[in-house]
Amino acid sequence: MSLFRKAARLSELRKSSPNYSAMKVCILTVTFFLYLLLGSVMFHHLESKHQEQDFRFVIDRLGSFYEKHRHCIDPAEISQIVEVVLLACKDGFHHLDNTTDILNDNITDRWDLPSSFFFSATVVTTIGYGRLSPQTRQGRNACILYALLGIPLTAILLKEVGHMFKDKGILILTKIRQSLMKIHKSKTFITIATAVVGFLVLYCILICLPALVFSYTEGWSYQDAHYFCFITLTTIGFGDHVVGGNNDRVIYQNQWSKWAFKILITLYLLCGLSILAIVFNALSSGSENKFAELYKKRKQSGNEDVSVIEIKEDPKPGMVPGTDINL
Amino acid sequence: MNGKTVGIISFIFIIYLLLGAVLFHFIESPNELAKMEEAKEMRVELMANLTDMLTDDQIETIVTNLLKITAAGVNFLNMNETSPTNWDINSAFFFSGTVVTTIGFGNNAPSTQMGRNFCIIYALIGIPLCGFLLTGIGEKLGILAKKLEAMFYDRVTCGYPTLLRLTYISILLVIGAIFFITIPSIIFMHVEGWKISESWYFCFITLTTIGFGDYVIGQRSDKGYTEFYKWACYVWIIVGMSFLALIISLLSDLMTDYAGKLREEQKQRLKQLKNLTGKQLTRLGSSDKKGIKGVEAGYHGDEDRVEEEDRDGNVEETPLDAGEKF
Repeated sequence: MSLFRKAARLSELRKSSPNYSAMKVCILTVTFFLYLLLGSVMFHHLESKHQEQDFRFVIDRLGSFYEKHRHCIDPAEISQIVEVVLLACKDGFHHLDNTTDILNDNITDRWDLPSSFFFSATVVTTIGYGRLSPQTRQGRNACILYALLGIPLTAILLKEVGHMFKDKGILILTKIRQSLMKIHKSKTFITIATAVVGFLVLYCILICLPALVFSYTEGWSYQDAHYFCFITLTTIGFGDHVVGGNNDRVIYQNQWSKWAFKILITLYLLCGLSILAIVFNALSSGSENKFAELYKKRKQSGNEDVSVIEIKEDPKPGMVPGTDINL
Repeated sequence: MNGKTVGIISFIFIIYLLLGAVLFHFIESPNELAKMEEAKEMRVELMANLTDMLTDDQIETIVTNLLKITAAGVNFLNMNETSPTNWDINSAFFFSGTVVTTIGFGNNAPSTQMGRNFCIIYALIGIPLCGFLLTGIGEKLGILAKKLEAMFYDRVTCGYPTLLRLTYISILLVIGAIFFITIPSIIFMHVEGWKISESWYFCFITLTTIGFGDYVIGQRSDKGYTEFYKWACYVWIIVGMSFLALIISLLSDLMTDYAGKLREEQKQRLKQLKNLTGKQLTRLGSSDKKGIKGVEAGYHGDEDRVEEEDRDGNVEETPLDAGEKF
């Protein structure tokens, strides 16, 4: 859960009675730890061999290269190359695709204004890809201060947007419920089905569709683009795939189109996070009675604009709407 | 929470991003270009030293391969032949942690397609799970914070409640900074061999879940990390993140409450203005219902209010009515 959602949830929790007994926290901790263990086993199983293969591949290549040229090179020279490369990597250059660009003075400033703009966005949204990170002492101090102010600012923005569109979110959820009720009336089915349908719709809008766009603009495979969108919107932000990382693409050659795309991707971040905030708000504060109230009022006034009607805020955090399930 | 508020905040936000763009550009760009020049010189020197043995293309191939491998997280010099992977169980455990906490350092990232797909599913379940844990811990911290707040208000009084709250949050922040940043930084300085500024930077970037990945704990295989150290780090991350979430929620609450207070004051002022205008208008003998409402709407920034009344037919007390009372 992103930092913002945690913060929002904490705000609501503070206003209501304590929900989490010490026992619950303990159980959560144990479950969490077990989940991490599960993850470690899975990732180890999936990734370890592949990386070993990569490593072996390079070692072999270097080895055979050395064998081929043994008469004129000594291993000290190979080590020299390795050291030089690692030195450059320490300065954050391991994301370069090649070094001939530097040799030919074809130097693109990775910190030009559009890129810095995008960088600022990744800081305040806590994504933090890391492909670009401040290397100077002043830059790092500036980054800390910038984040200290920017993250709460973003939190407020997302919270307000979430509040503003919360009613529309509840409406959509209710509409889904209404249509599902036509199929089957059982309460459990409705709850689960609403959750599933809602989740799928959300996933398509937030990730599947933008992934199509990015696979086109960045020249990635759809799977890579899909992975990128997911890692970005959850604010994990590994940085192995970043939009705008490949400066050879035609769209990034022109300064204007570069600005346009950086702004576009920033909008994507903000819209995506906002929608998640709206969903979160709708889920946290909705409940069965409120839906019914809402619909009654709508019918009476014949008023299509739901946002006009003030929903009295009685947040019951942790309750799944329409059920008695307390998370 | 209306459109105008969101509009204003969005505007401030965009300005803030632009400010960041300019700031980082002017701080980092010269340094980066200088480093690129250095890299170029290194490369040229390499060519000069080895060109009679290796062709330029061969050097390029080796360099590019090494860059790729390093980008994927393989740490050449620190790896021994027997365990050339950083996906051993311990590291994979740490990686899982960075996924569910959304820190996502990225020094290690799944490179197989299956690994990535699993990562997505793993995150979908793990992130909410982590969220519950963190809010649970955060709530406990919040209770403690409330107690401290009460103690604080007992001792300090001030005419400005908002300022008082801000002061309290600042004190909390300072205490938190000592426990969650300064003390761990000193530990990292000794164990990881970083400078104090680098450790401080790492702590902050990690706890806010930004997680660039330029500094990561536990990456040196030549240093023997004790089990205690590793577990202490995990606990630190979890509790520290909860604490920071608490601070951010306190701050945003404060700002929203303050904005709400300002709005209330504005409403009061408007009411007074309305009564006044009503009185003046009765004296003049004219009433411009729509005009007054337009002014009202302008003050509130809330056009909906005007329309709502027209549609429902419930007309609020008009200035004329108010005037007639007097």
